[in-house]
Amino acid sequence: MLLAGCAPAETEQVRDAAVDFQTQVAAQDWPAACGLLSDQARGQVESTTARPCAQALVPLRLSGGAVGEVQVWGANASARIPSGTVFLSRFGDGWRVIGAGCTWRGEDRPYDCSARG
Amino acid sequence: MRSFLRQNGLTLFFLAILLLALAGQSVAGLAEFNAQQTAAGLEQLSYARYLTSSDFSTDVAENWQSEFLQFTLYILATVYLVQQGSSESKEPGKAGLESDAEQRVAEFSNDDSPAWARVRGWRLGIYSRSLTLVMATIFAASWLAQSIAGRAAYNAQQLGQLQDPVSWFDYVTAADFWSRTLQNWQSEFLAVASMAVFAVYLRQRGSPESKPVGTSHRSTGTEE
Repeated sequence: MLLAGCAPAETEQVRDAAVDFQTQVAAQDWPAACGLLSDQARGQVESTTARPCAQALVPLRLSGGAVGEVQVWGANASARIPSGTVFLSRFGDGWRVIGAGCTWRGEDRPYDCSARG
Repeated sequence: MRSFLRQNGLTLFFLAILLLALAGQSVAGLAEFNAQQTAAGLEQLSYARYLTSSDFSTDVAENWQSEFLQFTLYILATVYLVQQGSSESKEPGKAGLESDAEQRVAEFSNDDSPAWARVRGWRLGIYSRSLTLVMATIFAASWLAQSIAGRAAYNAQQLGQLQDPVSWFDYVTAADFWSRTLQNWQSEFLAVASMAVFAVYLRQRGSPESKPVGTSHRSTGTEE
């Protein structure tokens, strides 16, 4: 239920999506990682670098690592990873990454993300 | 059936327009929510999902709590405070809880008085305040619901903007919660103050909320 914001099934779906993304990043399988980004995030990295997504992710220095705490509120979620946070959002075909390579910048400020959308 | 409708028309009319207004709010709210989702490149919500969403719940609860607060305060304030000349007020000098005889309780009760009004003790104590207690309880429950649903909606927005979610305590001390709360309270307090003073000088023929049209401005309460 959206109101509760933390239904166990949704949390597990988010965790699975975050683990999947982290696994592709750790393996440096950039085409697979691009497939897990939202359309807007993929478009943003492509337009910023003027390269196809799979090439655009290479210099971003995304790091893999285990997924820690997952929080789900409505159709948005976050997953802690050793280097920071991955943000996800629910779309018609499942959870996709809307912010990757995100590091904390301080209270009341958005995370600084290498890929966002 | 016709006589039931006639005898309960006031309640039924307001329940009917409540449902119509809620339906309208849900349709307009979904359109606004989905427009924001589209602008942010996020997924659209279905009508069914929107009806159970924290966004819709907090929009409903924040208005409910302020309405029930308004009536709770009005019921209590009119016990002790008066507005000379207002049909919404007791006459000056009658402020307070009034005597048992005036309130027709215990030995002053009638055969058709409510059962809990006829005997002294805890039941009379509760029944003497039951209107305030129920209104205040609904206010508190609605305000709590606003804080819970509001936090959920706020946290969803935070995550969509790549920011951390907040705890319930952080939310109830945050600007979003108090902005939503106070913008509703101020409008309710304005409406009550206006009603109390307008009822001194203005009339609506046939309405029990108004003094009879020819009654003096100085006359307080509805009785002559």
